[in-house]
Amino acid sequence: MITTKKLMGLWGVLMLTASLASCTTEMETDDIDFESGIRLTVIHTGDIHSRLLPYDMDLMATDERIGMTQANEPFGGIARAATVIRKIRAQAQHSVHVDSGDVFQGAPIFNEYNGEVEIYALNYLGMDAFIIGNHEFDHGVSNLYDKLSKAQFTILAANYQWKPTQGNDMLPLRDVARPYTVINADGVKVAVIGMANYSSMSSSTYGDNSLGITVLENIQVVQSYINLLKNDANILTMVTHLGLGEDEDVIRKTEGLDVVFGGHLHVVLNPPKIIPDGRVDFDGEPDPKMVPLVHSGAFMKYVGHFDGVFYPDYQVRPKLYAGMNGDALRPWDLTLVTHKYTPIPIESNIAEDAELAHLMAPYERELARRLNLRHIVGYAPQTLKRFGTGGHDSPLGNFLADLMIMRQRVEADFGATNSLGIRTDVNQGPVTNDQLYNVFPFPNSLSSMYLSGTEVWTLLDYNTYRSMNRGCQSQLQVAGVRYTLDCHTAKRVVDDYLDIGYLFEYQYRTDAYNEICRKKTPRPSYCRISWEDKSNPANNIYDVHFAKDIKFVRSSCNMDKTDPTAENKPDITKCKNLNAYDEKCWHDENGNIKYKEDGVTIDDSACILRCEQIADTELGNYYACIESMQPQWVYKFATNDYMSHGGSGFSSLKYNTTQKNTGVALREVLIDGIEKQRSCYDRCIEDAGGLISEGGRFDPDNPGTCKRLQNCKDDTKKFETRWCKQLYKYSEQEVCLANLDTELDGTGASQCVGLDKTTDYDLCLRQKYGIYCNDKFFTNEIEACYVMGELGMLTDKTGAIVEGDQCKDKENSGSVYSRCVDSFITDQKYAKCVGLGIESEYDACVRQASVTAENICKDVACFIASTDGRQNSERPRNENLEDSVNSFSNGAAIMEALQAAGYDACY
Amino acid sequence: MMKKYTLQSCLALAACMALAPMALSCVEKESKHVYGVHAFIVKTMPENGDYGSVFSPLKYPTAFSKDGVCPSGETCFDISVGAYAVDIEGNFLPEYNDTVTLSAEPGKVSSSEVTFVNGLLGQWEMVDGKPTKLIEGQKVGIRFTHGNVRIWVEDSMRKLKTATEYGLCFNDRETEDGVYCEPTLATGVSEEYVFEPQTVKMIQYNPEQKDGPSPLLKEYGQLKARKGHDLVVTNVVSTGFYITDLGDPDYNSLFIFTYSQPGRVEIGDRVCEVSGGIAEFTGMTQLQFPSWGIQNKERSTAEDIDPAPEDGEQGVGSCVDKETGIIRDCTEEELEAMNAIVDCSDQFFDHELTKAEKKAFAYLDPPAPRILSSDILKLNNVSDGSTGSDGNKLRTNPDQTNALERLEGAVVTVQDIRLSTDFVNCDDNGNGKIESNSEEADCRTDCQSNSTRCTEISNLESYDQWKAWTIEGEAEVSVASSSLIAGFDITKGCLSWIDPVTNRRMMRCPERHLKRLTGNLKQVLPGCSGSRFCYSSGFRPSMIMTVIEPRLSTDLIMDEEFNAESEKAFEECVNDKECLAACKEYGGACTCDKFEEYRRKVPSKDPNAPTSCLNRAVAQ
Repeated sequence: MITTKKLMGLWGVLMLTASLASCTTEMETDDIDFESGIRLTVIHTGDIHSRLLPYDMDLMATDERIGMTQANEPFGGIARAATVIRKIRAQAQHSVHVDSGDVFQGAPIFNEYNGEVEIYALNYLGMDAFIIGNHEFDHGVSNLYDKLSKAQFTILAANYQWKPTQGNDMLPLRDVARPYTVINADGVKVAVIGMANYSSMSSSTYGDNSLGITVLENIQVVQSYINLLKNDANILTMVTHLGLGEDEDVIRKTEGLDVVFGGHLHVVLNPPKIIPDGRVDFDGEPDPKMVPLVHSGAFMKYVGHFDGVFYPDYQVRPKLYAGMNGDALRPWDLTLVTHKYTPIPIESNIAEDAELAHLMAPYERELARRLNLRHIVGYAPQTLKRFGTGGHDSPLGNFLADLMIMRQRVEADFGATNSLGIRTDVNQGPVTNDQLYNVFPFPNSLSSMYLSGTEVWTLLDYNTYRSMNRGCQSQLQVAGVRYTLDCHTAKRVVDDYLDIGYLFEYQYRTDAYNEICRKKTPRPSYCRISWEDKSNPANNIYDVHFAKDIKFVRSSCNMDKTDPTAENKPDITKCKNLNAYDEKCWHDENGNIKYKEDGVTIDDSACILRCEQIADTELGNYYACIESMQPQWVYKFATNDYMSHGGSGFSSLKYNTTQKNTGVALREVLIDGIEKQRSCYDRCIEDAGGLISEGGRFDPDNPGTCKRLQNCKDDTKKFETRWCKQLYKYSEQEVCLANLDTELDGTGASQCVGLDKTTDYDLCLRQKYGIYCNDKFFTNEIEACYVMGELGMLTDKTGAIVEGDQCKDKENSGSVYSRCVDSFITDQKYAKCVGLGIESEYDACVRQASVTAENICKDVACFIASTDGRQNSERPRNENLEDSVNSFSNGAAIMEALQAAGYDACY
Repeated sequence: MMKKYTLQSCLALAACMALAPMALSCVEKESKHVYGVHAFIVKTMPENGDYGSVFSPLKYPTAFSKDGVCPSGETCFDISVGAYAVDIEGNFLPEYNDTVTLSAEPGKVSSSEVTFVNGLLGQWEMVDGKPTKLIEGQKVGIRFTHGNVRIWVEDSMRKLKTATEYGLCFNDRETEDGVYCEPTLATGVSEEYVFEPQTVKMIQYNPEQKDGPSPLLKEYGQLKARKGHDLVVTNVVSTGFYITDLGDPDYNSLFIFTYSQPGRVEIGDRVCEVSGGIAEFTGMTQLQFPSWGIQNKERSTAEDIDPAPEDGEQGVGSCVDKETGIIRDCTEEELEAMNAIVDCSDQFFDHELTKAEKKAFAYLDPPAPRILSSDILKLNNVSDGSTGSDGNKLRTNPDQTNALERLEGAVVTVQDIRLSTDFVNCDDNGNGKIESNSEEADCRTDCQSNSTRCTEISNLESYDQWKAWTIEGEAEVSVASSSLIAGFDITKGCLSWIDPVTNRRMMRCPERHLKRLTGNLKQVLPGCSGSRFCYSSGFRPSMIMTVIEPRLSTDLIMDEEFNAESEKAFEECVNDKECLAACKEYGGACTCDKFEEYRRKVPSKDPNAPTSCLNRAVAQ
């Protein structure tokens, strides 16, 4: 095993390098001639979400428009980004690097190291300022403090007021985080006001613990720091983790910012938005300055490169300064006059910064081993979306929720898990542990509890309220239950409450309901009397619901078929074993429910139980016993521990005393569920009515007739081949260490000391962009040697350049063969290397990939999920519209819209 | 000239504390830039001496002049650019002899690479060895400039001369005449030019390639209602809304992409301002990540205010005729109405409309829909036989297709059309998309070729587009947003089955006719969701789908009589086993009459194929 000590040693080197990088020569502001203009370059990153290593993804049209190409997979990677960032900053005269926060959570490296690697990597980048995002708190306040105290960049959160947490010694987070910083960018003083997240900080009050943060009002905070800093800095910027709508709102309502860099929604604004600020002229007339608003995406998919040209304000608005001269003109008071912005895609054709890549490599390998990240759990014949096309049920969400209620010893009536607990799609291709960590990064476990019907209603009401603000896209993924989210009513209720002066907080709803339902005339149609005082209607108690038509799905009720090809028909008698079964309820020949008492058919509303058709596009249509929710009945509910602790505002669950935490991680539940599915091979046989040899139509040698299997083989081969390339990332020393780790129980590491730490590939990458290096190094190694020799790039271990001719003399010098020999010092291992030089190890690896793919597709599960429409919605409609409508007056509008479109919108 | 910069150990206090032990290892350097250029002082002179102002902005230039002559019908704007290099203290740097890049922000310049001579670009009057006054600069044309514009002068790639320089260059690039280093990012910008503010037409009209992408692609679009350029909402759909600029007769409409149905925006509302990134999505120009401010047409609160007419302002002299789309002089009434519109900056506009304002809003009514003939529709889907840059057959000469391009986003009407009768799902692997260069793509091409009345099902489900053809002329057009049209189900009464050979889901429907279809014109390049290739200059797509997005259920007028008969005949055929089998096998509309007619028109290659439903020689 690689010991922590060793890792720390490597980081020691890193920290030294990083500190050297940050000690650049600096200028005094007085030396600079501002009148000839200043070009400030700002590197902007944000929402890195622990994606330090490159990853695969299906590009969205928006990515392709910016210039990404699917063929350049895998994307991202902080070592590649470092190459770009260092290059730009080396060119720029005055540059800063700011990050919008949420560097934590989203990849297994965070689950294992709690953010340590992220912070070290950012240190290496020489970043100047960083904003605290909502996910920074995911592993607790103590962890955040622990990690941030290792940071060599300034940590900002102007809108957080820190106070001691109850019962704990206050960790001095407030000593680590500052409201603003003034960066000296080679003589130009750039003030950065940092605004941390508040919209997604529900955990700051609803979770297990208070985080000890009071969030302050945006506009006041920003304007007061602008006023404080405007005479001490040349340029005023704001960097936020607020969200697009909030950023826009702050710009419009403050005066003095030059440019704003935001995050949280994971979107790229290309071009940046240009928002008029709240500036007024000396006469009090609006005289807005146009402020660029930059968002640069997430997951290190892009590096934002902003260039602004600034001139003294008196040159830009000469009329204002008429009659003044000299110092009164304040030549250091700069104003942005024009700008350019490019989001630079981080793709596989960019070389990794060798130093950073090497410093991360031990973590990476250690991680792969501990978590078995490359293990293939199943194969996804199609991309499984985290958001369904209609915005509610996603195939992935349905699959997980179904497994949750069916889990042994949970066996619940219904279940729900928060939609945003699912973080990315499962792409078409092999499903690995690594990918499942990206899909479910949170360590949430499965828990259960009992809820009364009324409590179920409250839960789904709250979900509707919460979803209403997000484009009526359900914030839950459910199983065993069907209902309608009446966002229209929810919106009306909230609007009405805001009208009478409530600051709508869902928790205080009961008082508010009564007030509005008693007072407002005419009484709104959404008010329902829950307790009536006939003598004095003013004492009536009212109730308001946002979730409608709640029903539970029970066992199947298909009629027994004599002809297996016939269509399913309903048979309510199949529901006999259920409590709500009533002999008086039956189906007529059209499948409609009827209620018959004493031979007379009457109103069917007395039937709690029906046998209704469920349309499932993946698994086929069937009939199921459907039971209306009864407020006084008790239902067993399966959920995750995050929600049962009141996360995301589900406080109605927090105080439930029947809670049981199974301790089984949701990720495990999912993996078990996937593994139980049949393989693509088996599914193909079944679909074709058996193998050809057994009289069926399926020919395993020609699986073209079954696309799933063919795709599985193609995709898996591609996956394995890529891994072969990855193997070559490591240097001799690393190969040596890795072999020791697996074979010698970690002893004898000294054998590796002194071995070359740089691969030829890395050397190549350092000088050129990557595709070229890939081509060169992953063909035959001897050929590669010649090519390198011709280019004068072949070096010996002392670093001296050697001629290409030496390739011949040395036979396999520089080949995998020789490296292998170097790595295995003892004689008996030497034998392992024989033959390697003839076919490069890479070639052998690729050859093996086809075989591996064949086997995998026979064995592992073919991951298919159902889509059967569990949640419906009624979106807000336009009624009684009033006055003018500004999209920017509603900060949530854009966020809601983004979510509706299935963007990576935030949290 | 070069100053020795003072060294400060660390930047921020926090970093200093963290790095205290390391501070000693910091090494003093003179400068990180080799030859000290820090900025350029830029002076420009417009050919006509006019820099423009808010009150009298310059006209939007659409072309570069050639040898001082502007192409006829276009607007040109020539300037002369001069600059000199300075170091960080603002001192003149005569040793700077490198190449710089010129650009207009926003806009384009005619020549972007120029070289300095002795630290200078252009001829300058020198006083005490320092440039003071620009005598004559480098002549360049600028175009596509709108709003406030500045000319950038940026240090460009620089040839490396010595080994020392080579060592200091971070990113070298080899060319035939030597090794070059990436630029230093030293920059200067010109004084400000004020051009006309953006209009929809500037975004939509590409003078170089009439059917090409927006010339302002990837710029920030900022549209504001102003006299003569009032903006009105013409349609609200599930992903955004359409606006039309009443001041231009063509290229006047634009889609605003809001991801989900925009709340509180309705047809007929006035758009005060709308801004967003200018993008092309599958061939359709749109604003993305928009912000908007809107005055709703309907109001509920009551308080009469008579808006005072604005002093001294006269309406613009030209109006677009709502019916014909021709520019003519405004009538008195129109001028009066235009003056009565409440200023968009009125934040407290919440009263019931006055008489004058009602008139004004009537003026804001969108223009009458243009009628699209089959001939015009065909411009988008008929090939002239040559091959395009994507390897496919080119469609008709793009210069002609601007008949459609100029109406992109506008409300149009097509008369007498028939809807698809055949449907096939080409998404074999069920991943929700059609892979290019695959059997799936071939399947889609077969379905979409003009000889069948076929719609691809995954396309229908993902994009909600069903194909249709004009009865006279057979021009193809697609209908979108069927979900908006209540009670209209194209699959009603259709026959569906799995084809045993291809294993694909097939569907055949009775032939149905629409008397009239109205909606906003969308143009879609299938399979061109966003790749750069689709929008590179000179790209000629082989096919553009013409899609019409209806606004209301009344935009679709069905031919009830014809449809009822057709549905009846279809049902009869489905009940006749032979006819049913034949129809399934050989395509075309599924009635006995239609089947015979179809078979006469398209003879089968299979000699055993039936020619009539009544001829029962069907091979099963």
